This record gives sequence, structure tokens and C-alpha cells, in this order.
Amino acid sequence: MSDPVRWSADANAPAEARELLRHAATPRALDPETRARHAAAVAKIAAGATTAAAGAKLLGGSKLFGLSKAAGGSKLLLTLGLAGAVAVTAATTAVVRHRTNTHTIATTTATTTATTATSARRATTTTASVPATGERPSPPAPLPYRERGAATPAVEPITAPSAPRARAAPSAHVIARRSTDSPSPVESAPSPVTASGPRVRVAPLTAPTVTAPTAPAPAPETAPAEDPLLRETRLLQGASPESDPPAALARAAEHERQFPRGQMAAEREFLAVQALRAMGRDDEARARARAMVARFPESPYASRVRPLLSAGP
Amino acid sequence: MNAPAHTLTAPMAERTLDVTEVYQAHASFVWASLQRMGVRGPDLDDVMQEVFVVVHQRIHTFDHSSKLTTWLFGVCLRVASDYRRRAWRRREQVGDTPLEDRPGHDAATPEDAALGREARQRLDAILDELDVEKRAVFVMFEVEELPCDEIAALLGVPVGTVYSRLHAARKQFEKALARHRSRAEHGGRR
Repeated sequence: MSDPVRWSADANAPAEARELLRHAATPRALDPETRARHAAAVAKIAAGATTAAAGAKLLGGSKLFGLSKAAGGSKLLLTLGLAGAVAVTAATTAVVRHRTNTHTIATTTATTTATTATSARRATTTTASVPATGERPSPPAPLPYRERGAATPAVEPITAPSAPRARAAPSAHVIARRSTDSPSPVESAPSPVTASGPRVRVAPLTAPTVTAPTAPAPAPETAPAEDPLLRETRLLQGASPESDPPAALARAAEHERQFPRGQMAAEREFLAVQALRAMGRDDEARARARAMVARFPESPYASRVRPLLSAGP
Repeated sequence: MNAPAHTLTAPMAERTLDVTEVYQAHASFVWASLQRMGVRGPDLDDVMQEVFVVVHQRIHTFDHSSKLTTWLFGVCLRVASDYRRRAWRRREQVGDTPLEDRPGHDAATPEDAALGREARQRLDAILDELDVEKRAVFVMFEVEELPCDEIAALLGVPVGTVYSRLHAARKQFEKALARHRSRAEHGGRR
């Protein structure tokens, strides 16, 4: 028996289906940045960081990004969590370059694989760098995304979560093959390791990574409540542009008042744009989106609101 | 592979796997599978984490009688189905598709981009009416254009099963397509 003919190549297939499939997007590849970010979170899962929450409800996963989600979840909140991670990573990249030896916990953990070590080091350095800027009201910290015209030295922006790539990209095959065919560490060489081995391995990695920048209520002493990024996050998190746009807009305004050039300015603008749209104030939303794109051309949020701009006058 | 990776691994059958190992070996597979099942936008990160929370909790039940990817695919199915129920509720309340599902900067003109976007949204809406599992097979075959034997290997099922699931998926797709068409004609949207 051979494979059926694909609809895209079959003139007898439903025409409308063929037309729709022509525009289909293949799954996005897991880029190294995202992979590393998730690896850090998974290390936390392995250390049992989520057992309590996850036991109650699967949603525990979202807490890994340090943002509690309202039931059902707001896309924006999650987005904020992500952006936070991206932002902090971007900021950290620079720090890491100059102070690679700040935290050597991960690197000294001999049994760690290279990738895990990298992500963990990133994570630990992140937590280390944030309190460092802690007490200052307005940190000269690297912006999450370079503001146009702002003199930010050598911090390469982390690429935004890229849009689904065009159909027929060979990468899909690559992903699939890689996940099956490549000799995975799990299935490779035998070696005498006791069952407790792996758990011991992850514990030291995850201990210091408490997600300080966005950790909710019971803030550990590693994350002073005065941390500006934490305050920014608190201000914006919990505001849902979908269920309560006016409140979200108010939060954005408050954030703008307190942190006009804060590290989460792009997130705030995105929140405001979404809220305005939800309230039907499309013209204002578009104007604000336009300003946002001009100010943060490289932010992932900019690419999200661009469609808005082309849709209207 | 470098030395540290070796020290982590023991014969699979002899011990319980660790979630970090599963992640390292199959992160891309889970990431792609969830998208095939219709998880998209920023939710993808969240659902990805949910999967690994479940993996962490349930990995001891994996008895090595099947491939790990098969087992993972099953976990993805459950988590993605749960996600879809939530997402549907949310979408009904909001009545909008998220901005992030509107790419299209790869198109030649804004018009093309708009057309492509609209087509993708309609396609997603139709695919969302398929069973999660059939949706995944459909996407792998019709969108990613993977050969059936490769799909079978990924899912750990006989290739005949892939054929029958694909057949069923196409039927569901056509039905959903017809529903959408009649909805559009009878005073629906636009």
C-alpha cells in the first residue's frame, strides 16, 4: 500500500481545502533561545518546584514563568511572562559576556550536560543581576528591546518568537527527523547510574533560580520587593485586556506614570493597544500601535501589532 | 556527545527516566506535536510546560513497552485537549483571534498578507473542529508533507493506522468545511 495523494497535489480534492492548505503554516521550530528557556523551567519541574501546584491542576505549569494566571488564562499575562524572560535574557546576555564567572554553580556541576548548564547559568546570572540593580529607582539596565535611537551598547536583541514559516519549509522534516532518528541521550550508551542519580543532578542547578524578577507573593530574600522590574511586572500582571479592558488601560497608564521608560514599556504599550481594541477604540489603538512600532521596532510586540497598522488608514 | 551526557544515561529499561532527559531528547517533538494539535500563539509556551509537568508526574508509569515518543504524544493529546476546551471558552467570550496568529510579513504585498492571514485563520478554525489526534495526523501529512511511514514511526503505530486516521481526518475536515461554508452563506460573518 502506498501513501494517498496529498490534497495539495490532487486535482480531485476539495478545491476550497486545497486553497486553504496553500496558506497553511508549518509548525514553528523550537529555536535555541526558547529551548534553553524551557530547559530551565523543566529543571525546576524536576526539582519538584511545581509538584504542589501541579498536583492540584495542570495549570501549575504557567507558574513556572512566575506569573499567576487567572482561571482560563489571559494571553497577555503569559505573553508578559515570556517577554519578561526574553527581556531579562537579553539584558543578561551582556552581563554574561563581562561577568561569566559571577555564578559558577552551574558550571561546576560536573554531571550536567552542556545545554542544561548553559541555560542554568543564564538563569542564575539573571537572578543575580536583577537584585544588583535593585535599590535604584530607575535602573540604567539594558532595555529589553533597543529603543530606536537609544544608545544601547552591543546588546543584540533576542529574536522575537518568529511567525509560522511558510508552507513546505524543509524544517518540518528536519524537526521530525531530529526528534526520532537522532541518537537521543536517553536511548544511547549504557552506564551504571543509580535511579537517584538524575535528581541529584538537577537539584543544585535549580536551587538558586527562584525566578526572582517575576516571583509572586512570597518573595524570597533573594528578590527584594523594591526591585524595579518586579514592581513593573506586578503593576502590569493581572490586567486582562480581554475581560476588563478599562482596568487594563488604567494599569498601563499607571505604569507609564511610574516607569515612562521602564524595562517593560513595550509590554505596557502592547497591553494598552489590546485594551483599546477591546473597547472598540480602534483609531486610538492604531495610533498607539504605530508609536509603539516606531519606538520598539525590534520588540516581538511590534511585529504583533504591525498587522493592525496595515489593516487601517 | 560529550562526556557528561553519557553519565546521565543508563539502559532505559532499568530505571525511571528523568523529566530533564525526556526534555533533552524530545523537546522538539513535543513542541511540534502541540502545534499540530492546534496549540498556538503565546499559549504554546504554557502548554509546553504543562506537558512536562505531567511528564514529571507520570513518567514512572511509562513501562517501555512502547516508544517514548508514542507515550509523549499521548500526554500531548490529553494536555492539548484540555487546552482546547479552555481556549474555546475563551474565544467564545472574546470573539477574536489573537494578534499573534496573524503573521504574513513573508507575503509580497499587504493584500497578499491579508489574504494569507484570513486563509490561515479559516484553516485553523476548521482544523480546530477535528479530533485532536486526527488533526495532528492531518497536519503532518497535508501541511508538513511528511510521508506516512515517518508519521507512523513518530507515533509508534502501524502505517495502516496512519492511513485510516488520515482518511477519517479528511472526512471530518470536509464536513467542517461544509459547515463553515453554509454558516458563511446564511448570514454568518461577512
